[in-house]
Amino acid sequence: MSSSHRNAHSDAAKKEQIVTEFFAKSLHIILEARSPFVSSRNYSGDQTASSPSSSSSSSSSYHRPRDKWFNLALQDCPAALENNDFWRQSNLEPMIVDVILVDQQKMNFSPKELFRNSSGKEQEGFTLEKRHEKVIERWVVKYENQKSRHSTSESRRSGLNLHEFYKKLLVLLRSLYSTVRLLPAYKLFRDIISSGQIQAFTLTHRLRSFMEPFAHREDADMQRFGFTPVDSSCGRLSVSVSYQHSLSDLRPEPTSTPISPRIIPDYVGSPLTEFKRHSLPVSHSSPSYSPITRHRSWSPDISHPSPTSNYPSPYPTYNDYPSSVPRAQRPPPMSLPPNTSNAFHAKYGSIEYDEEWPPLASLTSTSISPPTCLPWSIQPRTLSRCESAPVRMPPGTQHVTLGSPAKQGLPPFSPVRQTRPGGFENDRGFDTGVSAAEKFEVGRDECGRSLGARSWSNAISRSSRRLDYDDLDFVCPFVVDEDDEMDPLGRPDSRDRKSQSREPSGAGAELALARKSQDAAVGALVLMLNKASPLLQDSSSSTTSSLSKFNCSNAAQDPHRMSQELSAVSSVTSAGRLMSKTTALALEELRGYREMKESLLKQGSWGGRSLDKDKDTFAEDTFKFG
Amino acid sequence: MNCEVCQLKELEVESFEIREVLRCILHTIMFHRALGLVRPRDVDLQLFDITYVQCGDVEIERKIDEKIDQFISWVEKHPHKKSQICLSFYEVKNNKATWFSNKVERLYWEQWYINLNVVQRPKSQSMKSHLSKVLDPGEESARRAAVEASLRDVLFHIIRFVNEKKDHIPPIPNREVISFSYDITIPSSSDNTFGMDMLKRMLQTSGHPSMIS
Repeated sequence: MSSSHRNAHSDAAKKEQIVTEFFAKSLHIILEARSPFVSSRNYSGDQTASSPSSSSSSSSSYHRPRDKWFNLALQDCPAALENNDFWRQSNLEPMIVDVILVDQQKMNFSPKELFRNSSGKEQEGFTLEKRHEKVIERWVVKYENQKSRHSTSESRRSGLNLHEFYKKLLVLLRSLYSTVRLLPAYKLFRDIISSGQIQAFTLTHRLRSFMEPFAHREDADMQRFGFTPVDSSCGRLSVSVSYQHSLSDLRPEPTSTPISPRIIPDYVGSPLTEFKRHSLPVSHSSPSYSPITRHRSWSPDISHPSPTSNYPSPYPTYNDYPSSVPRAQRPPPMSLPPNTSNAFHAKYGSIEYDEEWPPLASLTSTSISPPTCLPWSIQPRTLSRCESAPVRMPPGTQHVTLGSPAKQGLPPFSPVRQTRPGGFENDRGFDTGVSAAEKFEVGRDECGRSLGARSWSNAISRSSRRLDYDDLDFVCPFVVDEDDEMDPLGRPDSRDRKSQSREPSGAGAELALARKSQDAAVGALVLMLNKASPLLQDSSSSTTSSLSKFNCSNAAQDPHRMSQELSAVSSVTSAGRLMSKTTALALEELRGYREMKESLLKQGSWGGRSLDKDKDTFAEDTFKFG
Repeated sequence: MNCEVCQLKELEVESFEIREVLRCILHTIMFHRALGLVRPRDVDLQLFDITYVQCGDVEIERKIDEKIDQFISWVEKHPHKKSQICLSFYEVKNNKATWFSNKVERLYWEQWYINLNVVQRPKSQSMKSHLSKVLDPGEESARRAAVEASLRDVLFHIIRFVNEKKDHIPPIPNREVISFSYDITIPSSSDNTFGMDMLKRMLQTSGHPSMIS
């Protein structure tokens, strides 16, 4: 009798261990095919043993101990492995794994909600969350303990039951593994990991021990599939899934704008571009965005596998997101690494997290993939914070964009926009939201710049080429500020255009920015010339005459004229280049200047000495232009 | 021990789709019956947007491909015919010598019948044949989608069957044995002998290398 008791206890303990490992294994299987960080798809079948004999001989060394559980060797999945400890604490708590589709477009372009959230209201933060998140799958693994009512005489059969129990769990996990790859969400997962580029959507997961009910509408959209529960003498282990049968309507469509967020080639080498690059808080390894190319729908008849009769569907209606449930009552779901979830929680206070968990450093490695490898809470939040909270901008951009509304420099966020699909269409969406928040000047600046960003950037690049900006030593687009100072732009129309440029009127904004580009170029040139003394006008040389027109006062007062003169300089520059075929020509010019110098010196005035300096400077410039 | 039989839904496929469809179905079944230590391998179908799972055993893969090749050869000789492929799992029982044979007996405990209706569409060699038989791209894509949906139904059918019927599965010998003993029966040279092949298989001695040592 005592031995039977001991056997019964031993079997019960073994069953508990089996159940514990089953939870871990099922979580591993689910996350392996839903977590974009690591996937078994990267595992090549060539790595397997070539024959059964070799596999059997090398199995002990080839497979890790956890692989031997349920005879299913899986690839490493950090998200699953780090959650194991939690579930080992109690097998009686169900394991709820929500697979969430995150629309990164909506997250980035919802400044209204962001601005409202800045006041600290958690409810509105959850509103933002709801807009761009959708639970597309919910896996429920639970173990219902059933006190054994069998007599002790049946304990002898418990050993056999243990093997049967284990064998059935083997089969159950096999079918779980297959099912995970047949459901619609697997296609999304495959798209994310195979594209290697920034997608408009990503997948994340949330792990809980309680079931958050779906909203009625969401519940109606969900199909259910239940695996046959496996009974043992101690309890019943069951796995079920609720999934969206059609994801084509949930997946954000790529925008139809012809312009994709890419680095404009003209910017390369431009100090403005370099500044923008270095001032970005978030780096993106892939500047381009490729729209979703595979559009699939899940035909309803496929999903008709009805749950078995002995397995009910226990999903009541779904209310709002976790904000409705006091956080104290909720155990941490461990879906986010603490460093990122802390930041997110600080801002929105909605996501549950476990601060004690080690950070998933490998997940944040940019070497894995573009931001899809990052939890959505890291990257999009950072991006959004960059856009909406000027104080968080790096110093490089801050002194450009902050301050007075007039100081609208470069669009510091245009590379950031590379993460978003399309260009103008999203920018317009951003604009409408920004207009409501006056205190966020960066937002307004964005609004004004975004539409004309491309044209403005092209204009500045063209002007930079003309003027040979290698000579200029400006590090940041302060040229606009300088332009403001030197050319007060007392023209009210220009300021009005700037204010108008905030509105999504493409033509006006582009015109204002084009003007600003010219002003910026003018200001930069004027600054350079200010360092030198005024040039002496000399009608003997066409080059001299054209360059002598660069009078700082004139430049300050008449940007139009300056732009014309700039174009003249460009023509002169091109002409100068042609002229510099030989040094002899340049030397001749120098001789001419020296003659001028001598003639002026003869006059014996102080201005002649300054002219002397000017001529030398002018000669150098001519050489440079040549 | 009962022999559980599962008749899968008939699939209407074209000849060039046979290989992928059969690989998908056979490997899916084998994966659920390869209860030894395996490292699964995901395989994306080329013709359909489906990912199935292989158990990763090279020998199993080789045998399945071999049978598929034989089946394709048979289909080429017998076009426009419905065919059936049977995947059976058995146990080897050492029985006493009977008047049939002195050797071991196979006890089949599970049989899967894969029903295919192979439709062969001639290539558009002439305008007439093109107009009459070859589908236009729109119809072809619809047909392909229908085949994909049917294939997905079949896979879910396998999963449901595997989940619902577990009691008949024999004990797992050990971890090193990848799968239970199995064989794949394809139609032979004529339809008449197909039934005979089934009978032969039931009475067959150890014609295949047993997976269980």
